[in-house]
Amino acid sequence: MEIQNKIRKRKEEIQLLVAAGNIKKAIKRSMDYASDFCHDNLILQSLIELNIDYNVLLSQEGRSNGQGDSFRSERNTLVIKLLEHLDSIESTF
Amino acid sequence: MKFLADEIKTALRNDPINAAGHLVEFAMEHALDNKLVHQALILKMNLSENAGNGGQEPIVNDMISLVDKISAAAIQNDQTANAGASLPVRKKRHLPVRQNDIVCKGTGLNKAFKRNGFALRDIDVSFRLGEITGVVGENGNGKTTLFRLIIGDLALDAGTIDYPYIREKAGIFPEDWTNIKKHIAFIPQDLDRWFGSVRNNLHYELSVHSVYGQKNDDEVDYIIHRLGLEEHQDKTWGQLSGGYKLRFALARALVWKPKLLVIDEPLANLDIKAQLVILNDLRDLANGYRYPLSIVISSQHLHEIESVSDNIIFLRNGNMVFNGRVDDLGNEREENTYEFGCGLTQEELEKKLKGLSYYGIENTGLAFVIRTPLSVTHDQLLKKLLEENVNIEYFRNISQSTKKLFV
Amino acid sequence: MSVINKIQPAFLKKIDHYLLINNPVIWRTRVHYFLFYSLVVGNFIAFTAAVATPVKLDNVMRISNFDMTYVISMILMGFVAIFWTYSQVRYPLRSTRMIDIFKTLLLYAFSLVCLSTNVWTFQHVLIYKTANVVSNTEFQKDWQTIRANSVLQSYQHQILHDHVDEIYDVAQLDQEIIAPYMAVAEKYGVEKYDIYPSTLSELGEIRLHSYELNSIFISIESAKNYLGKRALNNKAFDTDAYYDHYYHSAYEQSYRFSEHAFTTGVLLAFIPGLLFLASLISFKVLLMIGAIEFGFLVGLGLLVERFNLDFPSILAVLFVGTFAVIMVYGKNSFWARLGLGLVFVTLPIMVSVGYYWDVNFDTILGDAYMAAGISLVFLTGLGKIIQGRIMEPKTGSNLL
Repeated sequence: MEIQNKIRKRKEEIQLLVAAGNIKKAIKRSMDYASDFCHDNLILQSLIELNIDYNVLLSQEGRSNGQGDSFRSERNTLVIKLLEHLDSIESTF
Repeated sequence: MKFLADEIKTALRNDPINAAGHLVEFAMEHALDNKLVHQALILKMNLSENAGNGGQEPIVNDMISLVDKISAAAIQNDQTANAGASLPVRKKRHLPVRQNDIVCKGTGLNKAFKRNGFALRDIDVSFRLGEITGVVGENGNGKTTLFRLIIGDLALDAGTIDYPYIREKAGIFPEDWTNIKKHIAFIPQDLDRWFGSVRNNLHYELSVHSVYGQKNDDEVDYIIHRLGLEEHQDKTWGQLSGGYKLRFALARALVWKPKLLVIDEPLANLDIKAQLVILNDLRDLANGYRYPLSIVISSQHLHEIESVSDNIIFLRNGNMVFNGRVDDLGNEREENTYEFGCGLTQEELEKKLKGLSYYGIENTGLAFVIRTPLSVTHDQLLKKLLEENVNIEYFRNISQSTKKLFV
Repeated sequence: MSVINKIQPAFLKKIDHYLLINNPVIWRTRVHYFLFYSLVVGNFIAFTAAVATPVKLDNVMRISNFDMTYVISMILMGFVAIFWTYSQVRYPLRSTRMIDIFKTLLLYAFSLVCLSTNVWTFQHVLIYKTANVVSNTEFQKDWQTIRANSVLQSYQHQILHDHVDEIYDVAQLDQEIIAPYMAVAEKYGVEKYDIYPSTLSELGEIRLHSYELNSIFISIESAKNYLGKRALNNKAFDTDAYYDHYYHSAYEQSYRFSEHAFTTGVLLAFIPGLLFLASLISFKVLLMIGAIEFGFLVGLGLLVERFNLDFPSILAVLFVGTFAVIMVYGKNSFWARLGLGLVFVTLPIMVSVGYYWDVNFDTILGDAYMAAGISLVFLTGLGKIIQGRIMEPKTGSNLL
């Protein structure tokens, strides 16, 4: 039971990071989460790709100098993907 | 349930920024579908971004309808559960929990240097898995010597040092240094120059630790992205800034999952933001579930190091002045100590503090340190200073900090 | 480095990455680069360059030219070796397993073989071209012609020009009498001004002599001898019939071709060991030891010269002493590292002495390879001892 609590606690920690808009840290902690609790390496790889996509998004946004709607919608898509990975890790553990 | 939902909706209409946090909690607690939780998290994130720019209304409306959805589904589920339906039971697997194992234990460690007369005397240390131990003390007080003893770089004059967890896990005998050192990583203060690219060095580090093939590629990818080195992975030594050199040194030390990581003065050349990022990363990685490690770190940045450490060791002239939990620092103190900066002279300050009970004020050149009876709390001191219209530049309660041992 | 990366073919990058993540011991030796760049690319370039180099009857490669190509190649190889050594020091072999140390030394030796094949290819194509610039029969006939006509006896003085006693210029000799000699000289591209008549006063003879022509004949003779010797699997060293006053020098020159191959053998024996030992210590220490070694060599040389000491005895004592120090005090890293420094001092001296001894006492190439094998095993043991010692805590505080 202790381990289940730990998994749940760690997931909630990441969810709160998302809610606080700290996406970069949320992705980092998701990688740790996957490394700790996921035996399937595909999810970790997918999170790494997500990190790359997010970096690209940030640099594009930095160039366009402002947070437009397209940035927000793309970022939200990435965040949903991230959250789905967390659910998947928790459910398959 | 309905009552709670109505309360949140009202709060959202009145004070959306604060109520958004309640919505997230509500969703995490009651939403049956994870997608609803995701929506709540994203709405809260978007709302915070739009705070103050007038674009909040549609987001608040979405939040209110989300509350309705969550509560409706939960009410329906309660009814179904009462009708006898049972939820599927998921099979759980358990990983062995290995927290708090002793990675390194040194008893009565002694080391003397004939050339300069310095000696480290009777040091007892114990480093546990998943914990961070901060080693503090002024320059030349034995921190690096202690580190070199721990990592097996220097031989002891007296005392014993053992690595129970490492020996047990790897099945090796005491003093089999070749194998013991395979589980210890050390990052010196002056980082050695290296050759080749960041990525290749990490691959090499892993393969010499017998992690081959796809696993090697995956672990390198993970550590590069985890420590924010993705844009620097093809760079060489000369192309990296000081902060990234340290980050690389960390990556190289962490990529092969050592059991003990010893870092000598990592924060020395970093800006405050980089310091926080690195300390937070260390904290997270030490607590890792599958690969926890014990971290021993020295620094002159007392506040930062205390905020991240579980234990603190304070050395003075080669002797151990304090060794214990950070929370226990100053537990047995007989006075409170506060540090603050203001534009007054000591005389002016003493005049302003008339009527407040204190033992003494010391001007360190950069700030004042005041020692008071335990009955004088920081609230009282601050209140007094504000009443006297003292322009306070900064204020810190160092009663339970190693900083007190320095002043 | 980035330039090298850019010109690297994709398949080599793949091999490099594969070795990096699967076999770090092989990867760090960079043997795959030697295999591709030396064995394939280098040899192709060397072969093409040698084929393109014009070697004709009137433009024959001299021994000195061969020596020059050898020296230039060695200098180029030296640069490669320095860069290579640097990479080895920068990526230390972290394994302490005996098999990994042995594998490393063996791969070093193999890499050096790959590197040395470039010189070998270049020179051998040129040797082949030089040997075949003229047929054996024709060469023999030409040689006999110049032998027969190089010495003009005193009774032949009448064939010379009136002013022969005063003017030492071949142009003023009787062209008809010296015609056969001149014809051969012209055939091999030697100008008449490169032919010098000289008076041997005691005998009253005049001798025709050309350094140019001699060096051409020596070169062709050596090349033919060398290829003949190789064709007969090293067993018929001097079966040629040209046993005249050129023979001795030709013999020596053809031996010089073998000598180059022998040098490879010596490199095989010792350089890998030195390289490996170098990779155990830091680059700064390596430079410091290099300076000490230089001073030590000079000092030792002066001592030997001044007191006429028995050089091999000094070396033997030094070498055995070094091992004694490492074995007895090895636990103390200061002494282990000092011992390592002494090994650096003694090994190059041993190489020099061994090289001198081999060249002068006619040791065949096979011996060098055997020595290489023995040295590899020996140095593996030494490496293992030192690696183990380095891992132990040190009792000193101010270490090298």
